[in-house]
Amino acid sequence: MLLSQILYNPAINWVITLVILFYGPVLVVYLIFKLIGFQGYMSLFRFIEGKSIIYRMDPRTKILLSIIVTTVAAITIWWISAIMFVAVMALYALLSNIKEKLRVALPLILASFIGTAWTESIFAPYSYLQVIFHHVTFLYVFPQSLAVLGITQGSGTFYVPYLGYVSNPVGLTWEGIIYGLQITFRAVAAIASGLLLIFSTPPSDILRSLEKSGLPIELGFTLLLAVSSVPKVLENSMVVLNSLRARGVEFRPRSRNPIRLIAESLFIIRVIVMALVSIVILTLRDARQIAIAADIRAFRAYRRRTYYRDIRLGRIDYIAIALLIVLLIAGIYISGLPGMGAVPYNP
Amino acid sequence: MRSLVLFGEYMVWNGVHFNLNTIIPWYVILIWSVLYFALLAWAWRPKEGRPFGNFKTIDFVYIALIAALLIVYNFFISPLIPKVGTVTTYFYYPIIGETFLVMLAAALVGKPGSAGLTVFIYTLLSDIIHYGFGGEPFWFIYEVTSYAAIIDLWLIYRGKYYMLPFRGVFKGVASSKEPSGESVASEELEEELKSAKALFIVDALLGGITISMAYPFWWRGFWGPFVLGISFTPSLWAITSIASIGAGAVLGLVVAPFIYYIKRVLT
Amino acid sequence: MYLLAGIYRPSNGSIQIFNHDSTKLSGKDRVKLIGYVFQDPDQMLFSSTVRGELEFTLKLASVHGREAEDRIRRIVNYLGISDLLSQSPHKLSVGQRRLVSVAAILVAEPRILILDEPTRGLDNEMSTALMDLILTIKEEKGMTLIMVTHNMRQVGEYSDKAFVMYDGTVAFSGIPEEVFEESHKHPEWGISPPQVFEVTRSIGRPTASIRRVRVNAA
Repeated sequence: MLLSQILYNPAINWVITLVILFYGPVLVVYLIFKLIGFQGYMSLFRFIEGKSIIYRMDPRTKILLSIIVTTVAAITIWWISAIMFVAVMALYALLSNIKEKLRVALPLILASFIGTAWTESIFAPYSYLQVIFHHVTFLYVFPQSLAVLGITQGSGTFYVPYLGYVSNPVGLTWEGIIYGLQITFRAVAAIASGLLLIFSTPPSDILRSLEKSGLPIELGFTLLLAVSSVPKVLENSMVVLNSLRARGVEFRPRSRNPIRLIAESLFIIRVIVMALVSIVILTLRDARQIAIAADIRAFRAYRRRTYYRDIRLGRIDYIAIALLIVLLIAGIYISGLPGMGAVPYNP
Repeated sequence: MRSLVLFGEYMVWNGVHFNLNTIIPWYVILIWSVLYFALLAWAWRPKEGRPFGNFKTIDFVYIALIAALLIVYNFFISPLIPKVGTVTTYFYYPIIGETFLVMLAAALVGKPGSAGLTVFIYTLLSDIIHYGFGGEPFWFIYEVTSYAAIIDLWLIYRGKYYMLPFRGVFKGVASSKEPSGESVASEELEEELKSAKALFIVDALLGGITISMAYPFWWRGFWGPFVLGISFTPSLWAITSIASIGAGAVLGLVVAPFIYYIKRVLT
Repeated sequence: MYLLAGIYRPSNGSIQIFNHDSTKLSGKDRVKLIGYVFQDPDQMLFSSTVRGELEFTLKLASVHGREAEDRIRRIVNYLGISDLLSQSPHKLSVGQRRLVSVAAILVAEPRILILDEPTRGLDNEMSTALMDLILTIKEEKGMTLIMVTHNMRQVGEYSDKAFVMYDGTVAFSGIPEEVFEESHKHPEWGISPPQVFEVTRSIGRPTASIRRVRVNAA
């Protein structure tokens, strides 16, 4: 009785709601900026030579690994994704400079967990939860007006702990948390296997293997250039933000006076829009140079081109491919068993 | 990947439920997709044995860099900010960034098929690094036909003037006196710039509305139910679709000056 | 560099600039003390006109009205870019963009100016002109100039004091001639003295001045 009066006192209700709304994202921001930083982000995409099995494998095997792991993760129940995630992380032991890579990859994966699970626990659409779990339990109810933000809203009457029966409640659901964890496991299995490919293969080998698999070189080129430009875009973003800071821009409004505070906030928004345009210009300014560099190296000049270093499937690759095919078949079989299929993805 | 699994009352294959009980009838989607893929086949037709005959190297570079910007925006920056306002497009900033960048790619490349290629590369990348290939190839068809189709159609008419307040008017054939006549033909036609502010506004509205409507109209109306087997009420579908037209118009007009400025700076 | 410009905070300790603790300075006070010119002008141009770019700096430094107008006019006349005021900074040539980026910092009249590879991407003639201009401003306004460069000729010609940064620490400091004297360390630091210095040393006057001689015609 007392607990219900405390928990659902209007003021306390709003405070708890706001904390729940913002705690997850703030934690994610903290993890990314304090533990990794932009520099760490960029080192994710830098290739360092190595000698172990994983470096000697054909890039096509590793691409297949990434595709099959993401596919199986997408069609099966969450704990199979979790097992595959652990298995892929075990392969990281074969990478050189492992400590540096884990220092970046682990907070990123943790941030992905917290971010997705937290968001889905309050934002998962009710219709999804109803289809997947057939029953939805509300753990805590927010003020009704927050439904406009897109927070999960049940249709019908629900029993809420410490509050009793509520019609069309808006709030945090147990199924939402489970759902968030499920799709996070799927996502991290995909992220980990994709990063494994990028960590252990030089970009030119990826391009070559894509071309060997029959993809038009134009698509392979565009895809690879996009992947390799991601760190450049991050670096540009960091530099532009730093140059604004060097010119005295404060990204946090400081004023106590509410009117000044609004004016400062509007100014910050304007500065951020200016910064975004600058980042786009700074990134696209290189386009002409890149195009000339590609043309000089006879990009698209010949349909079939040969390479100095050929890539060939070795014994390890055949073993790995056989294992992957077994995994795929097992995944498809398991996904058909009752209650073992995957939940749909909410973008 | 290529096997059918019986799951409950649906056929499920790679996470696809093939639920045809949708708001937009399946044949409308089929006809629309076939028409658009025919357009892409024409736009990306090989020239001298090379696919994407019309595209120059720099076009691929622009598309790749914009795909990288989209990846950074959607997977590195968006997750940092709580997603508020998912019901309407007005405050849903992931869509604002997508509108801006896809329209920018179309504006910089200015050839039919460029919006489709950008969306295709972006979807492929996001499948590799984030979503996984569950539900494919239908998500590809959804993204390409709903985010890019109308912009690509419009580009047939607007071409390189897309997102510029001008239109090109042919002044007639510039005399091709050179007897060799190697590289004459259409490029030798002199074009005159005519101011066309109304067309610029149409560019902006069309781009904004296309992308804003993708989720409420196409996804809720067909692809979501078809692939995931869930259902939406027709009233929700209709209301959010209509609301998204207004939001798309506003967004298109807001991003247009920025795209115009960037296009002027870079070309 | 970033620490000095107040972009990052030191993990421990503090930085004293003219008796101000840099970590406690607000953005407004910081721009009046330190200006930072980035490597690539595109990294620091935000506005759609050159005038807007200069006004942006002044707004952040809380300089308004007539004073702001005066400063803008002075700096553009000084750098010879007054005809560019209404143009878009992004559409200018590399050299012009460089001048605009320097102007955008100098208009706040900082007491310390940090230049990160100021002549990158400029041809020889252009970089000499720019360096002379910056040096003139430095002498007239009495600013402290900090410059990051890999160009040893510039180190020899323009600097009063040189610091060799190697492996995250200051490996050596002294006047440029002393740095060039430490020839056994050069391969490790990855520097090679300018030819002028090699010549003066080979004729037996190792510490002869290699400063740029500037003649004031007035």
